[in-house]
Amino acid sequence: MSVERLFQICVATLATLGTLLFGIGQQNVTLPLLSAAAAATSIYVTDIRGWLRLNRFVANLGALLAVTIALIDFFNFDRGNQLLALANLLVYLQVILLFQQKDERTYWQLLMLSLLQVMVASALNFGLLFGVLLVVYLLIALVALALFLLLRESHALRPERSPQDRGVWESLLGGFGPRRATRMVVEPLPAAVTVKDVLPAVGGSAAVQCLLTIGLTTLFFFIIPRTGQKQLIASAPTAQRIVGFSDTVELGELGRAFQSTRDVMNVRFFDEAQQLLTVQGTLLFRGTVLENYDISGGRSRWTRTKSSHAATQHGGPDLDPQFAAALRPSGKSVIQDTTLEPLRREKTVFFVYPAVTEGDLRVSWSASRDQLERKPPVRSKLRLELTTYGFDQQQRQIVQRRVNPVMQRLTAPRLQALTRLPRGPGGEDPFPRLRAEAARVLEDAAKEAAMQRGADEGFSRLEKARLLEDYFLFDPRFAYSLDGQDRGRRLDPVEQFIAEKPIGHCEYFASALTLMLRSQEIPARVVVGFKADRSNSYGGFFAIEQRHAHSWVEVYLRPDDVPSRLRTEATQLYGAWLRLDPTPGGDADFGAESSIGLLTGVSELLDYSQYLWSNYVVGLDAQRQGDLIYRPLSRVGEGVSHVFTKEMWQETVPAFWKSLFDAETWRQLLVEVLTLRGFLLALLAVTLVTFTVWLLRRLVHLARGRRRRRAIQGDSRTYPVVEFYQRLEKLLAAHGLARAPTQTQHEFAVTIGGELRARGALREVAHLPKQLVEFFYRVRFGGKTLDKQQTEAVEQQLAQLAAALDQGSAGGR
Amino acid sequence: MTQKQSSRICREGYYYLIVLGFVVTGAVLREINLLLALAGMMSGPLLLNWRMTVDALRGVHVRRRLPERVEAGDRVVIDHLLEKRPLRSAVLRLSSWALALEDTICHEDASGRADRCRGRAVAWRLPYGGTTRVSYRGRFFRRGRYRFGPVTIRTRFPLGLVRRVLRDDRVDELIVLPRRGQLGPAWNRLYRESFRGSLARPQPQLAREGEFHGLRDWKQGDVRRWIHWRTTARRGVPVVRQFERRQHRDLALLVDLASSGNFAREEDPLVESAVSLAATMTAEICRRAEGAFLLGLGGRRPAALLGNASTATTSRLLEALAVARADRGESLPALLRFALQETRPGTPVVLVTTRSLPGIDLAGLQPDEPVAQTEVAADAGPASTDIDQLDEVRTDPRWPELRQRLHVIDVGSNTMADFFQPAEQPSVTDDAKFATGAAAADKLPAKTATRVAESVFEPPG
Repeated sequence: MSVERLFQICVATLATLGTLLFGIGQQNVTLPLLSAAAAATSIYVTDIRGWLRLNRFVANLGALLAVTIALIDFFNFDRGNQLLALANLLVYLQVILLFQQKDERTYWQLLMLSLLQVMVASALNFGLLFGVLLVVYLLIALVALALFLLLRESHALRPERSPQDRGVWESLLGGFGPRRATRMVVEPLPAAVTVKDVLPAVGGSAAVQCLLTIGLTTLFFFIIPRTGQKQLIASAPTAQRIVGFSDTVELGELGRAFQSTRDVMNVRFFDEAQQLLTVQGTLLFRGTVLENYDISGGRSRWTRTKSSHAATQHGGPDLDPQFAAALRPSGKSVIQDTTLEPLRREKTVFFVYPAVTEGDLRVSWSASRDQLERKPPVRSKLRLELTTYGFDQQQRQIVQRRVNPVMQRLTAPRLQALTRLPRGPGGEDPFPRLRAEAARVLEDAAKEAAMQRGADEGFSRLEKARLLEDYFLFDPRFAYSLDGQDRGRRLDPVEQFIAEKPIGHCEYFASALTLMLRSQEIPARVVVGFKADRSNSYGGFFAIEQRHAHSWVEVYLRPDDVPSRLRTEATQLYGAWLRLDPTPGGDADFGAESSIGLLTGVSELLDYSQYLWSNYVVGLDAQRQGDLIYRPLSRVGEGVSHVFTKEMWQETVPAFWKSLFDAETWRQLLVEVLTLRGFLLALLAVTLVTFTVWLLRRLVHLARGRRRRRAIQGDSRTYPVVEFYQRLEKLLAAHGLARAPTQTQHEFAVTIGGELRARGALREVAHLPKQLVEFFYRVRFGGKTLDKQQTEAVEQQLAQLAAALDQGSAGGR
Repeated sequence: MTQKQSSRICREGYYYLIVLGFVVTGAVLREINLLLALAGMMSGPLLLNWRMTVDALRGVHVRRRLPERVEAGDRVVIDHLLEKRPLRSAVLRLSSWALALEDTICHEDASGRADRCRGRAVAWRLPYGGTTRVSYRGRFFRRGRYRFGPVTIRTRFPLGLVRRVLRDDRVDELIVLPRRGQLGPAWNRLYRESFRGSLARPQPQLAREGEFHGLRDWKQGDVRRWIHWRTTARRGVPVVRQFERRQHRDLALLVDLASSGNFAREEDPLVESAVSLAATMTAEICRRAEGAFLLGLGGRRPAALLGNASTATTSRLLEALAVARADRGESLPALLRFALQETRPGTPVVLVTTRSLPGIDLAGLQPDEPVAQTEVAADAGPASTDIDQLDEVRTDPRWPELRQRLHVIDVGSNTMADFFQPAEQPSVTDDAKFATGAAAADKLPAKTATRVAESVFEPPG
């Protein structure tokens, strides 16, 4: 394979990759497929066979058409998508160029177009796959540029045009003028180069350059400071709409529920000392609460409360001070570090209840809706830190509590709403079977308890709630399915779920339990949010996707209803919410550790990579940069300043010396280096050391060079020999007779001779420059030295010339 | 010899920088992290390209090898030996790739105007601590002094965005000798007649030895002093050095290069013809090596060379002919004076001239006056001169004797063809085929192309 063929393949690959990178962000496969097909076809049809080669006119026409289409798209698209129109134009132009006869200019244009596509894609694309493909693009681009250079160098060796190749006009015009004889013809020897000869060098240098470039880019990217408060968040022109989550729950829909793997948020938990915590069991992130069940127009759905009680409060502490004061001492706080993906409309913030925002003005607590909300704009990523009190903590492990204090006093109307069951259109009870079933379950449980205890003590509200939850969890009739069931129109969907077809998804289970509890005068509501089973074993974070959307139930417990072992100061204030998850396969496994299979491990690694990409590349902001780079560096700086203190030498050095022989120290260091921060700091340190060493070597080299030059200048063998010629040039230059850089000394002497001859008064010395140049040539190129006589002659001639020139200038004045 | 190195951004590098500028601007204004990353990924290769070009030319030295003997019109191959010397300070011992060499060739004509040309070659790989040879070929149509240098070596490997140039100011000279032709039967006759009844005396071999000629087997009568012991020891039989047998056929050749000066840029064909004839004769005389040879060169810089005719002196004499320049005929008296003073009675003197002698009566003409005073048609070539009328020689008592042994060859005369057949001078169109051949060789695989190049373009031996 020739170098040019390989280069053509690289160019075609780059063209395809550029379009692919651009198409990934738009989730549009048409253009990448078109580009790939065109690239592959052009290699065979145009480059190898030459069957189709667009001439200049056709190509220009095609380009004009492409521009027209792009302009039409540009004015038709909305503002956010106009960039896409320009990007599409790049693809069209690329396709046209691929089918042209390729010369150096065409190749350059193709390379530039693909680079521009990558540039546009970088502004529109945020996925991890983009980053991986970008590295691949870089590698192929480096190879392509190297091959292009080799191609250009070998083309430069081609002989120049022979006389037969001259055009008609050149031949005609050439006949009218004096024909200049050619004294010499010089041509390069043909020197073909093959792929086999250069591929190791090209491939090797590309690989090395790629690695070094990635290293330099990493440093450059992380060190450049991001501007202050403003977050460097790439805004998504097409923000995602959460399909799994909704602020209403509509029952009775057919069809399978849509499960999307789109990211919603990433969450990690830290203690107050910024140590990462491990969560045992499943997690439920509360989103919105739905308290109102409507049956109207043949539809059944849950909606938010209609109550307008309590205005929304902004900022924080977002709760009443009494509750906040009661909350803090009651349990250890955990910091929930959340990065929310951009949303289209939804402004709900998902958190582990209860939580406070510590004065973050970007979010606010809506007391009426009993949820946390973000302030607009919602079209950008949001990184939050919430302090949550919803965990029990044992060392570095935390478990989500099921009983949590109510954050505000519930008014009587609100409580009433929590126990209300709707009526049918005719005022009838739409849930007879549901009520009966709830009553039956409790009655059976009571009987059983009476038999065991020997007395009928009755159940507390909490126990009743747990019994009804267990009914859904352990009754074999119930089955989980995402497929929409045909529930008909005769019965309410929940009633039908209980009475006839106990198959459904979490919304049905939650709805059924809530309504059952309400039928027993127990206040309950549906909560919609997200459920997470397992954190990423590499990064210790929870990657929440849309498919993790979940519904469960919250039961209101009065302060007296809270069992003594679970009572806290906060629960005694306004009561507590008991969290129930009746969906089979819900949070029943506390402390279960699942083993990681190979596929799961790979999947988690990918999730972790995506997490790092989202947070530390696309979403890198000033705060993260500070945490990652600047604060550790300042700590290093503080450490360095301590080097010069007495305490350092008396205490730290011995401890440091001792730690060098401690295996645990090395283990911790290794663990630290293997983190992203440690890796970056290590990279920075290596770069600084390398740069310092290079600088020192350079300085030493320069110093040596200066010394050597001084030594040479001290050697007077070379200078006096041409020194007289330098004086000649200076003398002539002083009189306006300077040598042009393109003139040889002999040419100069002949020219000067003519000039002097033309000035009548200087005619007598016109021959002197030539004679002096003869001496110069003898010495400079002939390797001879002047003897005493010749040196005297030179001096004499110089003096004569100088005198004549001075006289001539004086006369001229 | 001075070497200077410098780095520059290529044109493609400037385009690259423009795009990089856009990326950086977009990244900074819109605060898009991925564009910042892209800017970093674009900056890295640019910096690395610069660094790699610097390393590629570190320790690189070039030495030019010129052919020893070149005649006008010959095809020549100019070699350059590239060497990458090991450096103590080198961290990575990498080869250098794609080194493009450009050599400047300059030729000055009689009027001082310089014609310049560039020879190009590419060394695809120069190993660290190793050498490689690159060549370019050419053809020099004019005799004279050609100056080679300075030579620049540039590399843009691997990305072609930054160029590093190494300039070596050393200048070498190549003297392209006059093209020789074929001497005709008239010359043989002249040569024989010149030495008929000559004063050449054979000298005893023992008393005087000529120049070393070669080795031969010992035979009866050889002197033991002539035995070449090393070869004898190697071969096992006595071998002696063989010497030229001097015939002492001295000869003087005077070359009168007079030109009317009507030829602005091209050389006067008569002058070139005279030089070519003189060169051919010189080579022939030296080849025969039969005595002393005196060469008197007229022209702008008259010169006189005297020595034993031998192959060793041929080069020196031909070089003098190569750089000879025509004048308006002022140097003829000097030439004749030279012949009067330096030649012994009986030594044949051959005068090669570009004008007819005798010609128009120039009584009273001062020998140094330009011949343009004579009434000569503009296209008649240089004016004629009656050498018998030159004061300088007319008054010399030795002149009549010299006149007897003086043979004048007018290169412009009709009888020239009997004397001399000039070699066919290749033309530029021949070099079109030269170039086309090169283009055809491009299509062949590398090895075949090299063989074609070497076989087709081999300089005449």
